[in-house]
Amino acid sequence: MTEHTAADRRQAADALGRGYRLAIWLGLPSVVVLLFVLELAIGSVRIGLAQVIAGLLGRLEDSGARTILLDLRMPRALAAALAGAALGVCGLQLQTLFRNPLAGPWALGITAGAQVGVAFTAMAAAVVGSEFLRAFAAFGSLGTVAGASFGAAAVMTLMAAASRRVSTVALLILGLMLGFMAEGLVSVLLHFTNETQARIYASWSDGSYAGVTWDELRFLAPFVAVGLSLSVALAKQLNALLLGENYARTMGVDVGFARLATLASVVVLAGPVTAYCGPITFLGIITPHICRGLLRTSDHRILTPAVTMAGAALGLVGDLVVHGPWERHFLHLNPVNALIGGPIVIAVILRQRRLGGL
Amino acid sequence: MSAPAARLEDVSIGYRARGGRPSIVAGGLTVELRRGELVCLLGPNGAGKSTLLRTISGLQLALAGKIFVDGVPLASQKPRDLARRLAVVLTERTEVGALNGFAVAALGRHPYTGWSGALDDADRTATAEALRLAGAEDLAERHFSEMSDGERQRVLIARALAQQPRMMVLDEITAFLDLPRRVSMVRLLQRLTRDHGLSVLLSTHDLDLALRCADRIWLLEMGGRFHAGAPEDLALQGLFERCFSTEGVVFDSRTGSFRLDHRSTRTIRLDGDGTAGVWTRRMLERIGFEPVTGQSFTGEGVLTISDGPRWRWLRNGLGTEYHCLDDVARALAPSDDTRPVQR
Repeated sequence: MTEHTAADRRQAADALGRGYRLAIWLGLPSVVVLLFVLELAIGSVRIGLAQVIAGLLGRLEDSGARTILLDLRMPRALAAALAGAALGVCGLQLQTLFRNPLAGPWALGITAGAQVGVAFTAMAAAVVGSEFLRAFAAFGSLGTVAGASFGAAAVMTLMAAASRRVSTVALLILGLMLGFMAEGLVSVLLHFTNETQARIYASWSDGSYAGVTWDELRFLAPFVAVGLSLSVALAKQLNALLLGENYARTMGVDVGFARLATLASVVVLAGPVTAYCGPITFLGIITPHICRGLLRTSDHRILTPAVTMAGAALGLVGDLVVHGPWERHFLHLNPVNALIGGPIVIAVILRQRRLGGL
Repeated sequence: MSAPAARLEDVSIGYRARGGRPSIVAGGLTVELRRGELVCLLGPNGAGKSTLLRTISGLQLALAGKIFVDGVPLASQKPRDLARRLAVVLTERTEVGALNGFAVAALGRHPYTGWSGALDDADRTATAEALRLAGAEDLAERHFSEMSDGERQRVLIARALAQQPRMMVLDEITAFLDLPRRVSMVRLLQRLTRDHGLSVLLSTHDLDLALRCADRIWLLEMGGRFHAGAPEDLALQGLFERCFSTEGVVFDSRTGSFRLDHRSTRTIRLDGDGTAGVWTRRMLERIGFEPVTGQSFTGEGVLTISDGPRWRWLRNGLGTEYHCLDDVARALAPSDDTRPVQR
């Protein structure tokens, strides 16, 4: 070993790291594409790979298969990928902003805020009456999005204020309490809503990518695109914030603006996703940890694209399990997410304890 | 003449309570940090050292007065411009997650990189140079979370140097370090001022180290009185005694260090000097004796140091020879047989 200088060894390590990273950067998109195709092919009705490709190219003859493929599975797969990517990136940003490894849109009650927002919108719709709604055609989509985003923004503001007063753990408990209170508030609101609206809400409050239509995707996709672009633009500021607000400030970060922009991007991502897919648990917390483990870095310039892809993959995995070729359909998305995410969260907590953090 | 690295004009520091009256920690501060100068900021706990450093760094607002950094008013500088002039290392322990030494140091390039934060060759060169100057080259590949306190400080200093500032402000960075590491840290800062023209303002508790290394000392007394000057001038004015002496501990201007203040009621004569003399004197003061030199005086007895070293203790015509100071101390200290017997 004596003839190896430190520079030699560093070069060797670099080369190894480069190969490993290349594998990840090629592997992640491949996995997303693979899962996407599987999502289209697998289900209670099996559609062969040749048919899937024909369908994607618009050359599928069988109209039944075409309907299943293009009107059911395709929007569902797109929603799963978009929601997973969005929630993962939310989690990444929140974990850095709050310096809290267990932060995520669901853990901090932001999802719950969005739910309350949607319930309010549903109640308002019931009060105003369906005639008005029909005249106001986009309501079904944009009204819900607005309600969800407003609720999410309200909770974000609250949590941002609270984070200066309470500890990391207390903040998470606060998020949990907000979640319970949201549930209570929602059931009270539903009590005053008409039955149809309430039933729609009840099925939505479970969290699922099924039922997201092409029309809704036309709204969801641009929001996610804007949110993801914003988070890419914020990567540099978030990197500086890794050292804490004081250091960030002395390195030239406008901390107030960076906080506000980050909160805005979280709202733009988590609000619409919750509006269309309902409350989706765990993806926001676990995706950043999986990517940090894979890439061994906290650099947001590397993590943001990685989390986007890994989040999409995890969204698709959960949905694949739910909509597999099962005889009966009793599986729900959030329990599946919990089975995937729970162990990861526990591992994070145990490691944090050893490091004396949290 | 170029502008000083920093200049304070009649500055008041403290906290603005919401709605209430501002509480002033210190007022009327007028002082300059010159180019290429290492200044140690001293003062008892709670005198406002950190507040002063935070104010100069732009992390909190001055209650009154004007601060110039590099000749430009602090208040009118954009964060990015200020970050190119002034870099800060704080005492707070930071967890940065999974970043290696190079990545942490490269964060200092923040005020130079574009919107994406991507490093170009110049940034990489500057970061490598900063790591070299901070003696942290070998930490470039190590994960920050696996480093010791001293190693982290060096990487954080490299990060500050990567900002290529004219001036560095460091708050209590030596607090977690043992003595050799503290000395090498201050050596490093001295090198930066001497060889690279950097101005360094360092707050510390380590009076001894400050007196030996600082070009000048800023002294903030409890209650807000402020003095600046060469360490020796401040010592001659007796300011350290006034500022730091508390019950039982006094600052000794003659030696430039602290000693425990024993009321020495018992005197003996000490013959001997050199290193053994110094440490014998310290031992005697520790156990409550005042050593006096001079042929005519005897006190309770005479302690003579001879080569070896050996100690000969002569009292009431009885002489005993000792090979270590521990034994001398035991012989001199009031022991059971010399204390009045209680009945």
